[in-house]
Amino acid sequence: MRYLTLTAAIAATLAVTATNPAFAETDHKIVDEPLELRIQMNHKRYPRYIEDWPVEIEARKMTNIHLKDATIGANARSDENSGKTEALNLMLASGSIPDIVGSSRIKDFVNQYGPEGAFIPLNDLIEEHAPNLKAFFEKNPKVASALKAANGKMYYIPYLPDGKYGRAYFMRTDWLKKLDLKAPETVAELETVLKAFRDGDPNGNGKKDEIPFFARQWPELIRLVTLWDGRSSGSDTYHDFMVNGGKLEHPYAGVGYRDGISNLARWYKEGLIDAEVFTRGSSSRDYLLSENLGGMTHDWFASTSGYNTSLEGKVKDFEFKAIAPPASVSGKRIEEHRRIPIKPDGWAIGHTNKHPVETIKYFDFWFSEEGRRLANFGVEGQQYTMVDGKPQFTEEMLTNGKPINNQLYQVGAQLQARGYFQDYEYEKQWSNKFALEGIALYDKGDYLIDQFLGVAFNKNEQKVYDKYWPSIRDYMLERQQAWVLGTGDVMADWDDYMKQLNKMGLEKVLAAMQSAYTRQYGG
Amino acid sequence: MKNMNLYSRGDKIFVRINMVLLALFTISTLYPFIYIAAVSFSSGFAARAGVVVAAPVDTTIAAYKFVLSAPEFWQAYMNTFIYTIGGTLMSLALVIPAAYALSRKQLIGRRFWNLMVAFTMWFNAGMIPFWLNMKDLGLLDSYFGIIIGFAINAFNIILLRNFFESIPESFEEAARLDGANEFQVLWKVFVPLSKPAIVTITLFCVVARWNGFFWAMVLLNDEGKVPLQVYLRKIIAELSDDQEFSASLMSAPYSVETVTAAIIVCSIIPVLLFYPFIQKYFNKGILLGGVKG
Repeated sequence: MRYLTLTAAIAATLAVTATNPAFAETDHKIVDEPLELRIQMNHKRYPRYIEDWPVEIEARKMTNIHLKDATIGANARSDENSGKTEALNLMLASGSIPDIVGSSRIKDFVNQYGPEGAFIPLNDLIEEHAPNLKAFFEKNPKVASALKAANGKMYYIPYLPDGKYGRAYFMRTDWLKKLDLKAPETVAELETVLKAFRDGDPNGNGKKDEIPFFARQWPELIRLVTLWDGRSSGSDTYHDFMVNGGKLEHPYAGVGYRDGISNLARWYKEGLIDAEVFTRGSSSRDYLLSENLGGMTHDWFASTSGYNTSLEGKVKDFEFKAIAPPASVSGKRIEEHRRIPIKPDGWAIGHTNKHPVETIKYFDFWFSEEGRRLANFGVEGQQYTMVDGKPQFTEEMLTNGKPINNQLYQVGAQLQARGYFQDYEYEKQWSNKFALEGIALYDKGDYLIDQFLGVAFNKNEQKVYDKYWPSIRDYMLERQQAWVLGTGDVMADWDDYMKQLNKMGLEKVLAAMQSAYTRQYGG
Repeated sequence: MKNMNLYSRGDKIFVRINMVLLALFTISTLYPFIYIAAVSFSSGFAARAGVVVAAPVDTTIAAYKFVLSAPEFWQAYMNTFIYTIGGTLMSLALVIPAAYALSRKQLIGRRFWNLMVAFTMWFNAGMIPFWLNMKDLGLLDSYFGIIIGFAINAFNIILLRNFFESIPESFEEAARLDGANEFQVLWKVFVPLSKPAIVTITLFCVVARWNGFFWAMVLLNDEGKVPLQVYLRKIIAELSDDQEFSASLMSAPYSVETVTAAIIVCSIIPVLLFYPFIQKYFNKGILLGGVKG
């Protein structure tokens, strides 16, 4: 994965630097006569394809392909949590699948209905007609593997996020200064710091009301098991499976996890962790920071850094900065969370499409240099101008107070129901400086680890997974919470817990995942 | 209260405790309204931090400005009125004759028809077949489709049928002796006598239409035709997405919580205004002085 991100970074730099005027004149015309293709597009931000989007108009000019909106169920949004795509089901029910289907959460849908004939497999088309896509997949073989359905074919071109960093450890660095402490380098030092937050009255109100560690989402507390060499998830989804040397495992069945939970239970008992961590929920960050109570959390770079601005002057000396992950008991420093390099969103070609070659060329256009810039930044002269060979958002865009991503959706850029490769540069231009500082810190330390990119099950594997996994997961989470809250002792219960997991079918689920994984990624 | 001295000591205590309990109950039903109103006038930050209790914190009208300045909001508001008024009138126009027919003994196969109507209360085809049906009828994405598609509710028909059945036959006989035909019997005798039941059904229809969300979401494609509830969900989805993603919204004076609350406040005002006018029908006696005798 290091290799992957490195090449991605190189590709990104190449894409923005190699812009001499002669290059920009590249002919992207796909057809001589204008060709209309019908598209279904669903995403909660733009429930249909708008033919007046400046980006669409520009793409039309460049490629001569004109996308016509044919969206069904435009107001039926897909549910981000369950991933149910009501609109796509309606489309299928209506019996008319348009030429192109783009949607959030399209992956499972096309991987199910693609092999049944509803969508055209893309492998051969890419091989013959899509040089940019081909080059991308050759550079990123893991992404190419992750895209495969159970039959080994690829049915959609995904939205590929750029920018590796997601969540990080944040700490009240002003409290550290006040208590004359340094940012913790190891898990033992972290414990000392948290204890000092608890006992040293860093908010200075004379009361022992500080909450050393808190989290908006309680699985972020479980993530601390990485400090004892455990794992909480293998991907950017909570409680997910992980790959360990080509072998699939579940983090909640590991020894490091056991030790981590045992220590977290101790911390919880000693008051180092928010007593309401499982119930306080999404308001905890706002509340605990604005009331000058919370000391440390693990949360998103962008939004968490924002408090340095929004609470400036409201909370005295407030400084909430990213700190490097403390070293674990064995001396490893890792940041378990990162943005996943491939999303289940993107677009596919419907089986009735009479122009699959032109369509794949059109998909390929968005992976060309100009196409990628159009997808990321909008139209030159409208949303951005070229400064020193790099796209730079206009002053108007950056200062009108509206979120940039919002403004881009409105012109048809950054559409995640379109298959495209995001360029982190777009986000960097409007990121908070504290976030950029933190990202630089994490970049220097190289703390990220490989991610499990998911598997596509065949029918039998899916059956095993559906039969056993949900109840195993419930059991794991139920035990986890009991241990942290102190109603059970993880060390004493561990053998029974493992026996119970296997009795409930964990080994069968792992075997199913392993067979899918080996088929997909070649072991 | 003025007759308090008529009560014994024990009764007085009982009455007082009763009053306190009722007051508490009233407050507990009123509180959600107060809370939502307070949130809608609070700053985004305060609402997100959950520090609003009963009064606005850092009072601001930013959320209302945000909501009221969007033309889509007014369009959705108007659509909700169209669906509510149109839908309710359509329902009454269909339900009243249906209930009347089903209540008449002279209807051939009355048991069968009644059974057919009741059948739909327990069994229906499900979402996709219904959607396909609407599609084949060309009723997708149209105001009329929403209005006609949900005009009939079996429960309302049965409710009104039972009411009609309870009206003594002598009314009908009297009207017929005076030479009234079926329509006149329905319109001049049954409808006036059934005002409380009809008002109840009207209220059911209005509330169902006002809150109608799911089918409007599924059947309408054009964003310009969606009712307020669908629009509300869209706004929530968009703002929570922004909030998660972008730090710049952190310092905006509104947040997804306050905007949601503001839309809710705006959307319940018409219902609050409408309700007192029909409430009087609910406690009116039935068949007041109908047959003198």
